[in-house]
This record gives sequence, structure tokens and C-alpha cells, in this order.
Amino acid sequence: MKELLLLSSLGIISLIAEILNLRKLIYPIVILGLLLNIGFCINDLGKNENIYDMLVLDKVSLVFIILTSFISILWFTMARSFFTDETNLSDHFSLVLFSLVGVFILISYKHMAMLFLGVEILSIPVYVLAGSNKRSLFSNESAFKYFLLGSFASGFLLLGITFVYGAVGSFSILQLASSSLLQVGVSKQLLMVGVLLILFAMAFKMSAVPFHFWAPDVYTGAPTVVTSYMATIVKIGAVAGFYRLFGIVLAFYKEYTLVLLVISVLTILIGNVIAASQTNVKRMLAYSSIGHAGFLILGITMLSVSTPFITWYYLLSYTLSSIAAFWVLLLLAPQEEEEDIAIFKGLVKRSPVLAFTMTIALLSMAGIPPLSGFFAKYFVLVNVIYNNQMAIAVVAILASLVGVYYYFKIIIAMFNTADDTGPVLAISTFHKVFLMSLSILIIFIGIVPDFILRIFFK
Amino acid sequence: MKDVIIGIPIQWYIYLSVTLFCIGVMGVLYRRNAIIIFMCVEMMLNAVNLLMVAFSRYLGDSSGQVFVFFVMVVAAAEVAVGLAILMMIFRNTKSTDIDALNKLKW
Repeated sequence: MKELLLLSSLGIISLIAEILNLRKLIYPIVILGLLLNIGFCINDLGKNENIYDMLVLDKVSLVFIILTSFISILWFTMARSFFTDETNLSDHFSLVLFSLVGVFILISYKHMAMLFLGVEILSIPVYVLAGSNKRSLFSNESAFKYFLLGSFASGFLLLGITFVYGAVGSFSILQLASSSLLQVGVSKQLLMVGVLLILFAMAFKMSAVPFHFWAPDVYTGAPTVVTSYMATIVKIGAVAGFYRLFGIVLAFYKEYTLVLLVISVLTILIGNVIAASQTNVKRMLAYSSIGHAGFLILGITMLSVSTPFITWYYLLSYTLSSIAAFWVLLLLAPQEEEEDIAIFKGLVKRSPVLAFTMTIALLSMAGIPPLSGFFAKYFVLVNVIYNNQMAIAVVAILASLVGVYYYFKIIIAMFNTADDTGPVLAISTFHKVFLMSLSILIIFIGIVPDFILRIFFK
Repeated sequence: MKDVIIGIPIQWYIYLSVTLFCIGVMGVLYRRNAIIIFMCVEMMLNAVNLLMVAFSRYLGDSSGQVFVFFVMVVAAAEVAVGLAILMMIFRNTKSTDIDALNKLKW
């Protein structure tokens, strides 16, 4: 409970900070609040708090909240440098904090009203953020597309929830489990259709194929700071919310395993193959995030006792690499509409730190050992093979080989120093320190995944 | 009058709501004016509200009716944000036709 209250009040504080002329203090207050939040979560780790049968703060949700808070600290640290004086710092910060509340609700809901509210609280501030560059037509278009398709999808989510309510007679997701044996006839059909509609809406939020069409456009058009938020924290929220519901559904209704397998394989394939043909870096990262969503769904579909850890570890490694990649991209191309791969040409001479971090981040996303991305993919695939789905494992490995190809396009461009490469970039020590520690963290959690497992999931 | 309403089987409400929902979906897919599309999204949400109330009455459980209030609040918030985004686009393109938004492809 106090985690949720803390986050909401942080949002309100940063909203009124501009009025009280506390602009300078917003960033320290927010970081302190998020650190305090992590402290609360670690303190509560053994307990099992149940908030009015609406939210439940069990071990899994607390660990996901710790991950979200940690990544948002990194995001705020990155974002602070890239808001110009023209944009309102406090508006951006409070919108992000409000959507973080939505992420928290999605991580810990056990009542389907909270699922709906969580999705909306998460999405509505992000619609605004996507359009925060008011004069750019790209930003306008991205905000409008995201808004329109997002509210369209939440209509389906709502219809699904209503059908499930009509069939089961309760909004509690635990009720789904207990009614799995008794239902026959019309109410069984209603339940099946309802869960399928919820599945489609959640797949839309996670940008899974065939509901991914919005993602590349929205990611490209939105300001890069916001894109990095959407690719990391919004994704954590969507995947955690999906796991909450479908962890129960998949255990009791075997019918959906096939649907999810098809969706996840298609997502991995299409995300990676189309990314290979992109020249715009942001669009390429968008397609690669679709491919990663496929791996995440595959990990959840192969439900086992280790699924929370696999999902958590994948999200940790993916979001860390994403933040690092977007950070480098922001430093290289602060202006919009010039994110072609060509900007990375000869980066190793212009700024070795940026080139090093970008290489580590991309290699981790491609899944090269011993970086964290390798173990993330490894855990998922081991589980797939353990479930005797050899064909799917082979397809996933082939698709991630395609992934290696397009990540290396950027790496080759960075290390190509043949022609004139342009002036040396002046990067402040602040950015250098954070980028280096991000790379070290990516290497570190790749070397000792069992250490992380023992800390958080003992 | 009350007996008549109670006498209507729950299936009829399902057919009515799903029909309304599908009209809303068709509107979103076919219309080109952004304002009309907003109205169609609202229609989808309200079709669901109708069904929620019907189920709530049928099951004798009030939580469905409470949920409807949440849906209304969220729908209002969504429209507020949506109209603001639309205003921003109108300032830049002088049009509410969504075909004007074709900058982002592939």
C-alpha cells in the first residue's frame, strides 16, 4: 500500500513543484522517493500484503516493482539531461510518475477492475508524452496513432472482462482457476471468448504480432526520451500484467497454450526479420523490441515454477541494454529526424566510451555470451526444450541469428574508420560515468545470473 | 414494465451489446474523420457498459455496476486527452482528416 501511496504523492509533488518554484529540487526528490520505494519493497519481501482483494503484494510483484523502480531511476537520470528549457520538466516528470503508478497496479492486481484501471493509468500519460513535441508532425502523428489504437484495444479488453464476469460471476482472477472445471455450455463459451479478447488487448499492449503495427510508427515519431520510456518501463508493465493473468489462465485452460505459441513464434520471427531491413535506428530498435516481446511471451507460455525469474531476468537484461542504447542514441542525435545508421559511422574514434557502451548493449540484445542477454534467451530456450518443443526452439534461435545480423550493422558502422569520421564528440563526465557503469552492470549480471537469482528469488 | 424487463433473457442483452460494439468497431475502421472515430470508440465502451449492467442484474451482484462508473471515468479521461491531441494536430495540419497523418511508414 505504501509503495502505491508514495508513487502517487511523488507525482503530485512534482506537478506542483513548478508552481512553488522548486524546479531544481524535482529530480533529487523523485530519485529519493524511488530509492525509498525500493527500500520499502525489500523490507516487505517476506510479507504477503493483500489490499482489499484488489492488489496483492506478494514476492513476485515486489520483485517486479523493485525492477521497475530501478529502471525508472536510470531513466530519470538519463532523461533529465535531454529536456530543453522549453519543455516543462515537472509536467514530464509527473506524467511519467503517474504512468509508473499504472505499472505498479499492473504488476500486482488480482481483480480485473484493477487490470483495466492499470492499463489505462499506464497508457493515458504515455499518449500525452508521445505527443510532447508539439510542433513536430511526427510526434503529433505518433501520439494520435497510439491514442487511437490504444483506446480501441482497451475497448476489446473491456469487452473481454465483461464476458469473463458474465461467465464466472466475479472479477477476481483467482475465481478463473476455481471455475475451470465446472463450466459447461454457454457460459464456458463466453469465458473462452472473453479470455481471448483480453489476450488480444494485452498482446496489443506488449506489441506482439499481429497487433504490433502501431509500435514502429509510435516509437519512431515520439521524442527519443519518451521512446526509451515506452520501450522499457511500459513494456515491463505490460508483460508483468500479462503474466499475472495468464500465469493462472495457462495453468487451468490448456486451450490457450497453442494460441500463445503461435503468437510468440510469429512475434519473434517478424520482429527480427523486419528489423533487418530498417535503416532508421529508432525504427530498428522498435522492431527489435517486438522480437524481445516474442521471447518474453514464449517464456510465459512455457509455464513452470521458474517463469517469474525467467521473465524478470529477461526484462532486466533487455531494459538495461535498451536504456544504454537509447542513451547513446540521445547523445549522438539530440535532434529528431536524423537517426539513420550513418550517424554511428566511425564512432569509435569520435567517442570511444559511446562506442563501447553501444557495442555492449547491442551484443547483449543480440544474445552473445557472456552478456546478460545471452542468459536471458538461454533460460527461455532451455524451458522450451524441456517442454519438448524442439521445432520452436530452433525457429527462435534462427530468428535471433537474424538479430545478430542487424545489430552488427550498427557495430560495423561504429568501427568503420576508413573515411573522414567527423569531429570528436565532447561528452560530459556525468554521462561517461553512467554509461560505463551501465555496461559493467550488463556484463556483471550476465556473469552471475545465479547470484541475482539467490538475492531476489531465494 | 418491471416484469417485462426481467423477462428478457440475458442472451438478448449480449446480442444487443455485441451488435453495438461491432458498429463501433466498424466506425473506427471505416470513417476518416477523427471526431467521428472518437464517437465510435465511445460507442464501443458504452456497449460494454450496457452489457456489464445487464450481467450485474442477471447475477445479482452489484460489483459490475460499480465497475461501470470506473469505465465512465476512464472514458472521460481518454476523450479529454484525445481531444487535446486532436487540437494539437489541427493547429499543425488545419484538418481533422486522419489521412493527413501519413508521415510514418515502414
